[in-house]
Amino acid sequence: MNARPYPAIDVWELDRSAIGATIAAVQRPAHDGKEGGVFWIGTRGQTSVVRAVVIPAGEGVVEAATFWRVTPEVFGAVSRWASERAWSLLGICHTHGEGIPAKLSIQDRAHLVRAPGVLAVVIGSGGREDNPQRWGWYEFASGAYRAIGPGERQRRLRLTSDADTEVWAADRRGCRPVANL
Amino acid sequence: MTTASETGAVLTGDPREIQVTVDYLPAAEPFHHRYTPETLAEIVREAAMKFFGVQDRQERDTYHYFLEIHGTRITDTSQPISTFLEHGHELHFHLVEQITPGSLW
Repeated sequence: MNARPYPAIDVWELDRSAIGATIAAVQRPAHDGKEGGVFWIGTRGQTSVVRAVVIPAGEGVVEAATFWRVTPEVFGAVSRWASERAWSLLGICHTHGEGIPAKLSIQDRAHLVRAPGVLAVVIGSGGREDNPQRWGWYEFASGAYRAIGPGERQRRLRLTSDADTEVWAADRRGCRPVANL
Repeated sequence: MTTASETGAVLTGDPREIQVTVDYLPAAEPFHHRYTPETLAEIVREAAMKFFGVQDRQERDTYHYFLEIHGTRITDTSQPISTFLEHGHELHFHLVEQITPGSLW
């Protein structure tokens, strides 16, 4: 694996506003009994900072009861938008329905982006679980997603309260800022 | 002057060379390389995939990486990259993954 495009990440910095935006974003599909999710986008480095929550929705996004899928066209739109800011995909956060554990499924492990250091986060209870400590946290490392336990999260996940995370919506046509969720 | 690049493409010092950039959303830096206009898009796709450490794969589902430009996925990579040039001598692609569900879906 080429290390250059994927600098090692010691710490992910995530503002509470990003957590709030993430929870708010997944309520719409959750209300319809469907999975939903967001991308956490930001600056990647030894300390990686989530600058924006991007909500894929509409054209090019499939929300279903048992899966959430984003088409390549939407990835392309987000990629164009992120490259203008020199931002990278830091994490993918998605919901699991009621009664389904907040853990990566075999399908999740196969379908999620496979790049070193990318976070995969699972919100349980159909998106109603608002305590991030009870979410499933995973990092892609050495060719597979591995769970990040509470101790490691305490060391590597820095929650802040002093930044305004940007919130954007994305579909196959592009990204646009979201004023109110 | 002719040199062999690390990606296998031959750089000729040709003033028509195209500066190619490929982004991949999870990566912190893009792939950059200069190619002759006749270089096939497949050469660029493979070099970018190697740089980003990803590969097409077939499991239960099929995973295939595409180059896209201006919102259009390049499905025919046998075309020379000059096909995608609108003006100037620069091309900016994005590498995206297509998942095709297998028969159990």
